[in-house]
Amino acid sequence: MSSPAKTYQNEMHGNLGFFATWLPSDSLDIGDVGVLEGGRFRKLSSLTDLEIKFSVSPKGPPQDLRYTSTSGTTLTVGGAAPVANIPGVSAEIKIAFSHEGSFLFHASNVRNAKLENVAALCESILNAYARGQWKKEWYLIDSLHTAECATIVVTEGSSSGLVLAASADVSLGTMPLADPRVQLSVSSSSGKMLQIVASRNLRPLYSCLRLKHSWFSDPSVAPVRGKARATSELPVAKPPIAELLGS
Amino acid sequence: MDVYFSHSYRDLRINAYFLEELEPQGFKLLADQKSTTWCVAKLERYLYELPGFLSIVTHRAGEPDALSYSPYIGHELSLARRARLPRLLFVDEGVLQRYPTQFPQDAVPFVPGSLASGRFRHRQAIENFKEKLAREERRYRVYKDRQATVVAAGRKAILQATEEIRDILAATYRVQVFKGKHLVTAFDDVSLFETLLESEVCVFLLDTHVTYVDVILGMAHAHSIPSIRIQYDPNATDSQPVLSGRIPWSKTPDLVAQFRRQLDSFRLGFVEAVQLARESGGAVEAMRTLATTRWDPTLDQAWDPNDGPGLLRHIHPEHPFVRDEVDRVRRLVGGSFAVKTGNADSLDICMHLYAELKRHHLAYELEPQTMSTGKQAIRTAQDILSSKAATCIDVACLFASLLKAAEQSAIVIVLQTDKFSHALAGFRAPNAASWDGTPELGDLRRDLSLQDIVLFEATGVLESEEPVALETREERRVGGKMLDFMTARTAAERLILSDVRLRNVVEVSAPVR
Repeated sequence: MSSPAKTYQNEMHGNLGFFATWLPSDSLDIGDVGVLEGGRFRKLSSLTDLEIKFSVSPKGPPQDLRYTSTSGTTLTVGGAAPVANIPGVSAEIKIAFSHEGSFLFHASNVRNAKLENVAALCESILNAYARGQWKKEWYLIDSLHTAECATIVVTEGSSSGLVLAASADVSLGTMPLADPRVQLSVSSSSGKMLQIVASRNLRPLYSCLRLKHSWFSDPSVAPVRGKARATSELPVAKPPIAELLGS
Repeated sequence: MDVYFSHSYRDLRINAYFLEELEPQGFKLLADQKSTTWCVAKLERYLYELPGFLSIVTHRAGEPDALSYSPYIGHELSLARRARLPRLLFVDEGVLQRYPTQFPQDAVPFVPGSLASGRFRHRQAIENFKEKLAREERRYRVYKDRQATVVAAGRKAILQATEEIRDILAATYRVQVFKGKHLVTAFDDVSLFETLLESEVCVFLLDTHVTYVDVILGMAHAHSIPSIRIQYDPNATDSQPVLSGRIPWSKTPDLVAQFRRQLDSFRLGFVEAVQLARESGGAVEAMRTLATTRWDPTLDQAWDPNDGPGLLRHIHPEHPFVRDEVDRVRRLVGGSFAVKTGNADSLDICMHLYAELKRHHLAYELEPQTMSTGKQAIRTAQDILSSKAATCIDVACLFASLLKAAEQSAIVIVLQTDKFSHALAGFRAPNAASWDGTPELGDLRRDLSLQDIVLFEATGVLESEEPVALETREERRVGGKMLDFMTARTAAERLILSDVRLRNVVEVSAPVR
């Protein structure tokens, strides 16, 4: 994975704690099973394919997310006056990047859903592992954010820029780059960058689980205490960001 | 003009208001620095040596719907009345209306929410008090410096303890011991009475039943002679002094430790509040300094903030107080924790623990001033109860102890901003996966948003007029200086999502079942 993508993923993780989907347009689903490769989740199977029953929580309340890299990103939204010679355009939005890895992340109506009853699911996963159907290096996507509309730009050069033309029947709000009512088009761009502009139904953030390494190396004798919760600790863990960045 | 300044340590704003009114009138307000030792002998000493008594009696939220005030202030007032000291009492209007017979007629009411509305009346009362003190002839207690008198009952255990007490005193005092047949003639033996009067301090070792020692103590009490009252009680489990100053004991080592604390406290001077205000930059700061417990932590109470895992040494789920609180919550949630395995169950248990701790009406205060560089002392549950106060890290560790004892995966985190460091408490939901390795701030933010962990502002159970972290002043006011649990959660989330750095995270896993 390129260094700019690592910066983007690292900073997004610092802000929100979730892994930033790479490439941002990759379509992930809760229950997907795969490996981390080059900072990217590569799907190999799914809980459905493995015939493991699971349930997903209802989606949480919508929220708008707006992040830029800690340095090197400048966003300028021009006035609402029409731009000369471009009929219907009501504003010009300039994004300037001055460092490699600078990024912009605007997403609207972001809603999160997650796997429910992970404890019961763990039991099925351990059974699948015992049957040789689950590999210990696999990751399971346990929560996912979906965004109604999002603009994500990650620059790969030390100096780059993007000019967007925005048109809308409504006044531009605080999130014009992720407002589904605003039509955005690229007027010009300079430098090397990954750009996803006003894309619908993106899945830009996720978290995953994997079996704990210690689960295999520390066999223990279960105490004789009846049926209620065999252990207070689940056999799965949330991988640290270093695992994604180092993949 | 020196006066004894009796006040509640918690009400910084009210105390500061009166301090600012008294300062221009030339008063010097001598007050006891907050400590974990309740030493009545020290109060008696200063009450007799100072020409006046000034008390600010604020209301203290006690049991639900009760309007009470500090029993310690009540006892100071009682001692001052016994010593017939000129006095000025400012009493919360609500307290005065509720307990009219517990205060003398000359008490001056104040409205805590609108102090300035009574300013004219308060100033007039202060001027009258000043004039009264100027008219009164100054009393001086005549005693021999470094003269101590010990009066002991005849039980064998008491006589053995008397020898220990004598040895401790002898390091500093000339000691006279009265016991056995000397006591029978107490009423007629004027030389014994004069010895009491001339002593800097007296120590009375009482038996389980009334003896002549009680009679002699009565004489000393009536004359406000500084007295340490020790009573043998075979059922005593510790040697903490009760409100009257009586120290129960059954084991000599406990008694000796408590007696040393009493003597140390007795010999420590009072602090002058007006001077403190000048030195510390204001009345509120002076009152805050006075309200910070004087405390000498032991080595094992010290924690290096760079040593996150070291916090584990300060989590004591087996402490009797912790066990009592958890047992109470176990009953409240309907039995064994082993079958309470859902996320909602854990939240319910935590909310009950939170509510139980609120009932104790502990105060928030800064860490003690007697600290070695680079280390912070963390109070045990016993220390918190003794001082009725805690810092954020004290109470976060206490919550971790409670949650662990209640079979939850407890979490303590320490965050750092540019201005302060702060500890939060919380727990991991039973159905949530754990971190693999040390989590980063982002991991905490993710788990909070997924409700895989619950964090809350642990100081929400402590009384504080001012916000401790990112809760608002209004939230504190609405909660009666504390926070309800949901507000404490919101305040913690506000802090986590702000511009902070994660300094330490400690997770104490629930026991394997």
